[in-house]
Amino acid sequence: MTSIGTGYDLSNSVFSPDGRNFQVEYATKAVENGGTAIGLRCKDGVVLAVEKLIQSKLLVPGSNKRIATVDRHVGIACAGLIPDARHFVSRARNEASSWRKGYYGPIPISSLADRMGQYAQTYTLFSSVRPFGVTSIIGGLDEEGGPSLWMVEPSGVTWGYFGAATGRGRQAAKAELEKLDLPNITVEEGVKHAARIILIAHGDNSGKDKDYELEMTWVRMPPNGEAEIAADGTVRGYGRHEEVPKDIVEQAEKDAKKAVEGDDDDEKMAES
Amino acid sequence: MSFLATPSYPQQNVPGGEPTQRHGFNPYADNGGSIIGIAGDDFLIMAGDTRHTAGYNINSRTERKVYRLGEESSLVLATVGFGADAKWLADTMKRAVDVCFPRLSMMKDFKFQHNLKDMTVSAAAQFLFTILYGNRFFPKYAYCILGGLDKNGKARLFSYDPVGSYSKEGERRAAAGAASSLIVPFLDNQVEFKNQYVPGTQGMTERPVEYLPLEKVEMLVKDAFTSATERHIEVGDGLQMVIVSAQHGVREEIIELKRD
Amino acid sequence: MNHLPEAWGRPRDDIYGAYDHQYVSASNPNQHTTSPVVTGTSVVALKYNGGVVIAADNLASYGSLARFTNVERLKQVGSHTVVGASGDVSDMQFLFDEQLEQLIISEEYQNDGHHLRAKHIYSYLSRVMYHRRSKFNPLWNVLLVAGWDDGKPFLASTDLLGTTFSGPALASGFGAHLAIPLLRRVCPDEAAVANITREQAISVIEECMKVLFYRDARSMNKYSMSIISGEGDKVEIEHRKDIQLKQQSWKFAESIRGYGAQVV
Repeated sequence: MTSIGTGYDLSNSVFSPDGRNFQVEYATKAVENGGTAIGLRCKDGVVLAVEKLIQSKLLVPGSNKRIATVDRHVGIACAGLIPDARHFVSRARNEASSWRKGYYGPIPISSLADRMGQYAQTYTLFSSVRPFGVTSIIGGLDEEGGPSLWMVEPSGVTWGYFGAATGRGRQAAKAELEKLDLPNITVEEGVKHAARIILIAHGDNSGKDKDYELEMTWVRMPPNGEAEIAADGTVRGYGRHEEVPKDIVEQAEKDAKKAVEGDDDDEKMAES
Repeated sequence: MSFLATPSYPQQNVPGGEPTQRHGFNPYADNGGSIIGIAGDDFLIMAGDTRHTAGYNINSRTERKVYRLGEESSLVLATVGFGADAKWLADTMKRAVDVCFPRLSMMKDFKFQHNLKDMTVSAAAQFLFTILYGNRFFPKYAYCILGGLDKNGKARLFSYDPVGSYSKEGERRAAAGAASSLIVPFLDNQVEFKNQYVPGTQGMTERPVEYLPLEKVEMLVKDAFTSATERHIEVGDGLQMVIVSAQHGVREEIIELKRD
Repeated sequence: MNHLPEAWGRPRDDIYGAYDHQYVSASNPNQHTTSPVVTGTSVVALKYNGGVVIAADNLASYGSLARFTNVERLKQVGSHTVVGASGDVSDMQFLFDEQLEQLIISEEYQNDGHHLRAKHIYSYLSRVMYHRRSKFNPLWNVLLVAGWDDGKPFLASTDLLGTTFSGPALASGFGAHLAIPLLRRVCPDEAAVANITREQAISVIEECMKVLFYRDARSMNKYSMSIISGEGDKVEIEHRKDIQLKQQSWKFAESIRGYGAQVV
């Protein structure tokens, strides 16, 4: 933060002499303080998961969702400033809805991600606005691209991923995601990994003294959906974004705890 | 100046030319049925049949025309005419009087604004006028009868035409709808004692008007509707009666009418 | 197309005479739908002791021309409801594919386990219909809303004027004349619903579709049927598509002049 006091960080859209937009970088900092959010692109769908830190015991369990349904086949998981995320999601819903009106069908995930990226980017251009303090992971399953996962950052950067992570535990989460054979696992396996990765990410950062709630959704083909299996084994068709059933999440959490604590035991044994 | 000589819209029925016939959209319909309201001293009965028609078709045999405007309120509204407008009026009045809807509408909720007090009958009556007259140039095609008890427990009754005119003093009886021309003279005679004279006065002294007891009024309402059912094809199926009494609260009753 | 763009899309002057430019003048009054164009005929529906059966044929007529023969006029809306539409097909598509689709998608944003039930859909539709008639721009349809609501079968109607009513047996269009008497014979009132089984209801509706095909010149012999059945809070909707009319008998036609063999 050597730039503080130089004056180039006071207004949005102003470059510093070495070519940086500090307001965007500060927005990224805001994201890094939020609970971890991850996304897994599996071969038959997408899994989204967030580590929702319990801010107060007075909150109703399950309230204040951080993964939103944007259209039947799309979900967005967010890390960062929640109000910014709510606005971002609302914009995504409008995009999806107007696509339906104009083109008479569901929006492809790539188009939605592209539009949302452009939207985020416009908030880096004017001194009258500030960038979104949010990084969002957009996941969905469509007919053209099959399962797809995108991450939109405050700068407007929008990249497609097999596995995406943001928020305070992103480093640990990324390390874990890299170990997976993501293109070839199923959504069911993805759910188990997601629960484990969120647990690891939680334990790895400064928020670990706080309790967290695991919020998890998936996008996969509904039982009566018209699916097609592409040459690379991925599913094509319009999926459905839903919460992962409670019993499956609970089981995944239990397994995750066992696996992670098991690791600790191994380490202890190795130490002794 | 030639542009002033001819209107800029297509002319219809040009003299000497072929008359043009345009198939327009008629936003109104007549859904039949009749309603009655009779006020006693400390009670009133509002009644309507439950037949809903479109021409010779019976759409439904169980559509109610009499609405209570609040669960705790004594206010009752009966509407007849074009069913969609009638229902809109009832919904609008309910929303204005009761607390059952959140304050989403432009119209502020009366009960919230006035310390949870019910609207008085005369206030509701004036309010209904405002709504009806507010639609003066695209009228709500429904005839309304509004009734309730005032703060002294006396029955008040008001009846309206579709653009809102009503008598602020209220009245003792009212009828509207398809069979009103059959029912009104009957009520004139039986409630207002029209054409009744004191026996032995050689038709010189009119019988003085007096409040009728509840049982008698209930009988009159039933008689009015069974008779109207006999003679009018749009009346029948069921008779819905809402009885509002200062002593016994509000009671609703549905009895059968002929379904032919 | 010639070299005069202003003449494109207008009747040729040499055949129809000079074009009356008043028709494209911007100061003309706005014109809205004042009559339907491509239309669907009756929808029939009947409650039974565990749900509702609703049916509509697959024809869309252009006047007396049987224009499209594979049109679906029943739509499932959410998990509890089926809506059937007669009247203008483009207005139906606007309601089904744009309005109702968006209604359900927005409802699912909350993801709170609450779903719009039949009476909510019905209330929404009747308000839309009344609103549009009040703007003098009606949606030229009669809609039947069938569903499972609050542990009971639900059936109600709304039309281009926003008129609303409900009953144990409803039919729109020609069905209001031909099917209603047949339906009311087995189901004269709400109380009778308790004695009608699912199979009975289906066969009565099948009978109605047959009678309508016999006598309604804007009907066809292929139709869809939805059976909404419920138990407590659970709802199940079965869609039967491309049902062919069975056991038709055209014997009666023999004796009708112009129908059968009899020519004089």
